[in-house]
Amino acid sequence: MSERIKKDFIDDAKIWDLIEKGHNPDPREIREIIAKSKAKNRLEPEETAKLLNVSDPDLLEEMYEAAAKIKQDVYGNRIVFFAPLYAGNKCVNNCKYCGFRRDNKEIVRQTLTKEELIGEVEAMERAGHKRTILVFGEHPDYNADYISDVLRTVYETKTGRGEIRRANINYAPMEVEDYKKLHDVGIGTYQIFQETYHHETYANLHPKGDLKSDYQYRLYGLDRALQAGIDDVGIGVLFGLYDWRFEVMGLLYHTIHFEETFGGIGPHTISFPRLEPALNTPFTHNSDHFVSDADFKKLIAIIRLSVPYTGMILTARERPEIRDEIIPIGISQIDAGSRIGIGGYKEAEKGYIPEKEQFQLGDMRSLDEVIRKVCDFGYVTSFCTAGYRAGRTGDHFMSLAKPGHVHRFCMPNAMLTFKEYLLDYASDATREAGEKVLSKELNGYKAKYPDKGLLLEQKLQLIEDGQRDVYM
Amino acid sequence: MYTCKQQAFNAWLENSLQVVLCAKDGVEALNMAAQSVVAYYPGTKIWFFQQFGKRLSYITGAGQESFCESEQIGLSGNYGVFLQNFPNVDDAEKDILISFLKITAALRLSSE
Repeated sequence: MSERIKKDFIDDAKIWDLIEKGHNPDPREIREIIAKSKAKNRLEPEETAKLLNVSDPDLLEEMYEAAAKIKQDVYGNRIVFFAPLYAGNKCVNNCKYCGFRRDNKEIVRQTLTKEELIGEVEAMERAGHKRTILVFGEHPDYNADYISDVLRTVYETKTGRGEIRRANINYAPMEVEDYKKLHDVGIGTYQIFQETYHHETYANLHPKGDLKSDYQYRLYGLDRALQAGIDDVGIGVLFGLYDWRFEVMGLLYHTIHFEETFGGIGPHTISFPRLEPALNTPFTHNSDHFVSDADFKKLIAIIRLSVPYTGMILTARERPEIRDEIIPIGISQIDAGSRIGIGGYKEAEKGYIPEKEQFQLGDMRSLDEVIRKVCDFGYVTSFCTAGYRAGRTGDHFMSLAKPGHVHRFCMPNAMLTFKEYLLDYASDATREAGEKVLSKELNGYKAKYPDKGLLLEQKLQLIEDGQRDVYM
Repeated sequence: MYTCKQQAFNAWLENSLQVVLCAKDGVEALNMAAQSVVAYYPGTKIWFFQQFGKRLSYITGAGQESFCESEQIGLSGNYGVFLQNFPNVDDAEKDILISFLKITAALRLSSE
């Protein structure tokens, strides 16, 4: 490792040492770790390192079952849906794995005008979306004032009964004063993906001199967001840049860093996109660290076991069959009906499939189709955004999520937002499948919480009667 | 003439005001107010927030979650509070309680 690299909370040598020491884990010890996790305790790095070394099929199956159980206990029988909105793809960085990189001349550089932005938001709303994540390339044009304006426009744009109720942001690290501007216009979650936690790989993939080449500035980027009052932050890794076992350990160390630095607040979400082919981007075809489907499933279960309370996001980068297999083992959020080209939602309405994007999507199914599939699993689709509009943010959210109580709010709110979707946007087939799921879930809820079940039933009736944005 | 219940409430209020006025900053004042409220009203929960657009950012709070409906009350500036499980507090007492919380939030606002 280069001498110029400063010390931070990611100790590469220690991580590899733990992974090596975790070889040939004792099954009894693995079962104790699983039990600790099922009791909703965040794991220590030594424990996660042992899980990374499990290869016995029976033990793996136990891990998958435990991961699914934890997800059910903490988040309930529901999946939160969102869609990304790519607002601009100008970028000053030259990251070797990214289709938006500065030197990629095959990409048409675009930034949505206000009118185009409104058109995109309206198209998303017409599909039924209520939650979005705004994505930008890293460029001086996309400063905090500009992004604040985009946020305001997204929130102000309404069409019919449609509106975006929560807008998250995935962007580059900023200074505290800039984060405050975003905070003041009502941002949801701020996401920064470290891409890779491995210092040397990071240096190799992010050319020196680029804004993004400063590993520590990015690593501590969400610390500054938290200091600015944005208390819902999301972390992530682009799996496929380096050894996936190391990256899982990096995500855990990042989580521990937050907990120790910010009074117990951990990441609101963890994301784990896999490297996908991108136009004119050879690295995306030649990486030495592609993650197999089997390892991907394993790493997702291990993240769920390691950080039981966190939201976990599986994106439409993944193929439908992978998503269908992975969702039950711990996923709490997915995107669907996503378009990642600039202006992609309006184009999709006209039937165009964009070709020149940051990467290739694996799941091009519509929101309605994916919701119907999720109904087959018996899950309630959620567009719920009540938590951050009821002061359930930061350590208040953590105090509910860590002991596994958050679903007691989120489940009824999920049902309320699902009802809205079924009435306003669903196809006949999806409405039929959704009503069955809703009915079953409502009956279960009423049996468990009779008083609140009655209240929930009343609120569902309000939605039937035409009210919208009803929440507990 | 004050009843025993009113006297107890007045004494609690006087003490609580003194406590929050001695706080070293606005967040501590809000936290002390929350602690004092839930100690006086067992089984309740209270949490303060600051509103930014649609987001109500949690500041501090106290009490046990009871998963029942909460009442959202605006206090001062973009500050507000959620009260959970206060059905047995009569309207007059609740008005005074909210006034106390408004004073505390105003202290926080002035300390920014």
